[in-house]
Amino acid sequence: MSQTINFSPVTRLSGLLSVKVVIDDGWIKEANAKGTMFRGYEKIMQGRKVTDAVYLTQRVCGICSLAHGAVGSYLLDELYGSTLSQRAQYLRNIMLVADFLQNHIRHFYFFSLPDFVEFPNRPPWQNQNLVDGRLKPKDNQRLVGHYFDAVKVAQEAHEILALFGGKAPHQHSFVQGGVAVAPTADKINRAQALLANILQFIREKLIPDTELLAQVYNDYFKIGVTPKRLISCGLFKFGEQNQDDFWPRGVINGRQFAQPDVDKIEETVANSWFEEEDGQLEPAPDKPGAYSWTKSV
Amino acid sequence: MKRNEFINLCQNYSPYQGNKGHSSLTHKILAEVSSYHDSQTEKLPVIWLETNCSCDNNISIMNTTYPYLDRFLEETIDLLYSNTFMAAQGQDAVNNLKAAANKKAGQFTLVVEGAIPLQEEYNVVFITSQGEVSALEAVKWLGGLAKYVVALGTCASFGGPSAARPNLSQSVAVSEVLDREVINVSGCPVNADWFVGTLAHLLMYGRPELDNRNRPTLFYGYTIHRHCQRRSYFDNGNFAENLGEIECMFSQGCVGPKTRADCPYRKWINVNWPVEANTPCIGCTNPDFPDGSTPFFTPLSENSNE
Ligand code: SF4
Repeated sequence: MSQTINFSPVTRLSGLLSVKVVIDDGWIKEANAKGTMFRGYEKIMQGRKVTDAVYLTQRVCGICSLAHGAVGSYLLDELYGSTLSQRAQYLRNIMLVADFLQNHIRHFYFFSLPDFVEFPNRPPWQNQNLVDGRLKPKDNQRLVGHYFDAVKVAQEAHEILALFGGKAPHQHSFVQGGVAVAPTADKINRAQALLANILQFIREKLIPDTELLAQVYNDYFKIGVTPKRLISCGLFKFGEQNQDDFWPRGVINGRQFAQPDVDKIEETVANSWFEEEDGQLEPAPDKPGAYSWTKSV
Repeated sequence: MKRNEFINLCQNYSPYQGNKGHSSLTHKILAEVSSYHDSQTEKLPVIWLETNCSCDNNISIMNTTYPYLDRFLEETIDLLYSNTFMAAQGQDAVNNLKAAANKKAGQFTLVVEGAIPLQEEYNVVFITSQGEVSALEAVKWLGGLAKYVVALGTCASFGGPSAARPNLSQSVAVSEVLDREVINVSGCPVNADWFVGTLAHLLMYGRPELDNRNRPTLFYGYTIHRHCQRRSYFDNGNFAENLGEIECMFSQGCVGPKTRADCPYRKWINVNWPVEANTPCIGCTNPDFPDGSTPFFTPLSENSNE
């Protein structure tokens, strides 16, 4: 007897998500992660000036906004043959890191923690459906406290980004050709002070909390294990033409290490509500068999 | 409870009154204290619906300082439903929403973050055993029950980037699908102060004064250009030749002259704003953002959209 369960909405993420699971004789036959929100930025960018890309594509997502702006900037650097100074590269990377820190801290504490930790039964945590709470009361209480501490440090990470970028999210100064704000002593000093608070939080709270959860939930490492194939396309660019990666690119396949072959990476819409017409992807919400607005690679 | 009654209560339950020991006094007092506490902590009940948007507004609101986010959630609003913050998931989350909508009908503030696609299948907020609930359905349902409706961000206020051409989802502003007043708090994203300040106004003084676009005049009363620190450069015809320079950014596509917001005073996260960062204002609070602002970096006077 097969049974269909719609787990919806999946909360605590940026966007709208539902999961449909089909169970047959106690086995999961199908699990469809449904992105139920159409964005359409590929179409929005068409017919606009390429220099609109940095500001406009940041608006795809609020929590990882600069990642999109950075890629837009790198492509425009290439298109215009820009030469980047080392100082500009440092500053760009400081801004990108600040956005990453903001993202990771908020993801861990605001989005993930309520899956492991019991929160006070009042808004916005009322009727929490914690199905596998395991922490001792003392640890639980400490981690709830860290949720509140994370509020301030995540804000401080975005303060670093706004300091050099004008605003956050959707910063303004990391653009084609470099950065529009100079790293003057006052700004560097302020950023260092903010970073010191963030680092202290990471060392004293984020890392120990991660280790605690990894230990208490160590059986989770064995659920849904996939083949050990990992890819990095490199991170934090340096060099006059963005040619160097601070964190190198690579593919790990079992015990083998190789360079990624980007031509082998393909975007597919097999299960997405899109259809190809005249070489263009058009939205097709009635496409049979499709279940998501999200594409896959 | 009046002062005299309270003193009487304490005397009646004093440990010196024989068998009515002081632990029963604690019981009596705790109940009183907690009901006093409840009556004193009047908060704004809020249902926060996310529709067609990048969720940048809620990230921006997490950047609020004084009050910081935790204090805002604990002391200003009772966040009864929020895709981003609530702990409940799946059916439990939907139950929270239904309970809040019933229990607080006529009292809650509906915050809508995102534009509303008229092509309903382009934005489904959740799926129950009865079927899909689209953004349009959810907003119509909750909009009919709310005391106030606040459109959060430029997408919810005016369509924004979600309705940028070619607008395949036919996204529109919240005010276009509801037959009632909608308070628009625009911005891409919103500045945390504009939103937190608007909700504080609703809580403390009720409906704020609104401009002709239904935005609180408190934040959107004047143009960026009017209060810009670089106005003297503009008045003297001193324009930047590139991004990164100290002169007026009009030449770099600044749309401050037609954009209403208080960024020059307010700033972002208290430290900076786009013109101070030597880049143009791109008019993210405007009803015609982004189509009326692109191509960016092109002077307003030469922009074909003008
Ligand atoms: S930078 Fe923009 S807002 Fe400031 S004076 Fe120049 S045109 Fe006006």
